[in-house]
Amino acid sequence: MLLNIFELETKEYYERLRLLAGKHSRHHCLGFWGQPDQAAMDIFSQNGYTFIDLDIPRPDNICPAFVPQTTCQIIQVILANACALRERLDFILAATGPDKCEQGRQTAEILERLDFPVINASNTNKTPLRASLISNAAGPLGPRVSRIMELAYRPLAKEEEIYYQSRQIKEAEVIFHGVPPADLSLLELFPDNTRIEGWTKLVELGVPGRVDLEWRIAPQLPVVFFTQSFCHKGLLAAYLAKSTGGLHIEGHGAITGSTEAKLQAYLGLAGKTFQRGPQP
Amino acid sequence: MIYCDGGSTYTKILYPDGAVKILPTQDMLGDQTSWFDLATGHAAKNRCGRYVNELIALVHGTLSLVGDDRFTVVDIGSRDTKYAVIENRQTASLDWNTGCGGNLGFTLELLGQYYNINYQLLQPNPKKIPVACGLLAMEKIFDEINHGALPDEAVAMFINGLCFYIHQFCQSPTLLYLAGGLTENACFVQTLRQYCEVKPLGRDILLRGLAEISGCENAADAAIGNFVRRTI
Repeated sequence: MLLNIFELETKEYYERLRLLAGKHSRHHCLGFWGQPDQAAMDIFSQNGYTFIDLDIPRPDNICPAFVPQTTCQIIQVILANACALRERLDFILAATGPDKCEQGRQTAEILERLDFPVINASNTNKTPLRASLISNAAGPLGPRVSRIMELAYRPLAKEEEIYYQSRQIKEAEVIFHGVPPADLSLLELFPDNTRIEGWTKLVELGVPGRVDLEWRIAPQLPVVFFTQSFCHKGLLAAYLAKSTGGLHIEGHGAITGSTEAKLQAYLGLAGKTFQRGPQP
Repeated sequence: MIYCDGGSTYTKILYPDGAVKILPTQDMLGDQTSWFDLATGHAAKNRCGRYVNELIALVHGTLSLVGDDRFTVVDIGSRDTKYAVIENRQTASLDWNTGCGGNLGFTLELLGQYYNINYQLLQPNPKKIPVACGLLAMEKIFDEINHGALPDEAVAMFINGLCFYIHQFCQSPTLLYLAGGLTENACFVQTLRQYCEVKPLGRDILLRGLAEISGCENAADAAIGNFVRRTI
């Protein structure tokens, strides 16, 4: 590991990070996953680096053969992207703590052993960096989730802030709770008045490691909990869904027709009363 | 109006005169002229004027038959299982298993054909085979037979495991309204009764839901109206 945020004093970590970022590099290209430490991202941003989010699936990138099929799709995507982009990535910023997951830690270790230039930049921030403007704004869910995931390297412009501020939801219809699905088409099924909660909202707040906040939900609204299959967050989602009348959806790769149908049924039935019973 | 529930294995069709026809879905798909006014089920999605989600049809159909304020209904199909919990005539929770279809109706039909089993005569077995994964459960069936169990006994164990799984999947209710083709499988229904009270609704409940949704019970079509007004 080139640098490890957990092994160095804060001052020394950032000093050494500045030295690395300031050196001449081949492509000025940085890969990352999750939402790494913001100060670390900012250092590379100030040095003119291009950012590549390794969490985002790219067609044709192939996961190494040793990875079991029962591995979370996002982790498979990270490994596939890293291998495909090996020649272009000058550094990889890795999120390895509660801000990502245990598999994130294993992935960083594996890539380091495969001679990738890995920097552990786990996000331990516990104080919100900004308000949850996008999470609570009306509008198509997919673009909002995608915009939140870009915040780590592309802060909101002033006009965007004004736009989202003007669209704040007064009464949400449904809550989306969870992580961005590998197949973002799932999000097209949600109404515009969907409020974002869970890990995605934590990313907007800049506190992805505050997983205690994932347990705070408003049970008076229909809640759809999304997790990747084979993700440890599935247990949380299954419990909360069953105890609050919510719906737990998981996906592995492309969303299936049955999963879409299940979500459509939930959104179509939630909160509706049927007074009519058997006819005489 | 012609209504259709296009299941993965069987298609159920309700005609304007109230007659219900059940045929293999591959026959329905093979007939290029098949067209329905209102349909549910994966197989009929591209053969209809209007499509209704299966779980929504199930909830509407069940609510049109059952007067209780709170109950649980489960529909077990060839490839998936779905349930809804109704409280105060609202859907309080629902789920739809979408991962593994190996432990569902289609597997039972295959096993029945392969071992020539009459499910109306098959005795429930108090032992069960775990069916968290249907394909692994198949392996256990063959294991039981290799260890001396009769095929009938091993399949009945599989059914017991299936009933245990379904009861748990539906959040362990004390009373379960059962819809789908397995309502006609005596061994399955008897075995499920080891876990809770079971009230079979028949295999046309989704058609009933479609009719309810279209509001045809108020229309001049008396035959359809009588179909909808059947009570249990």
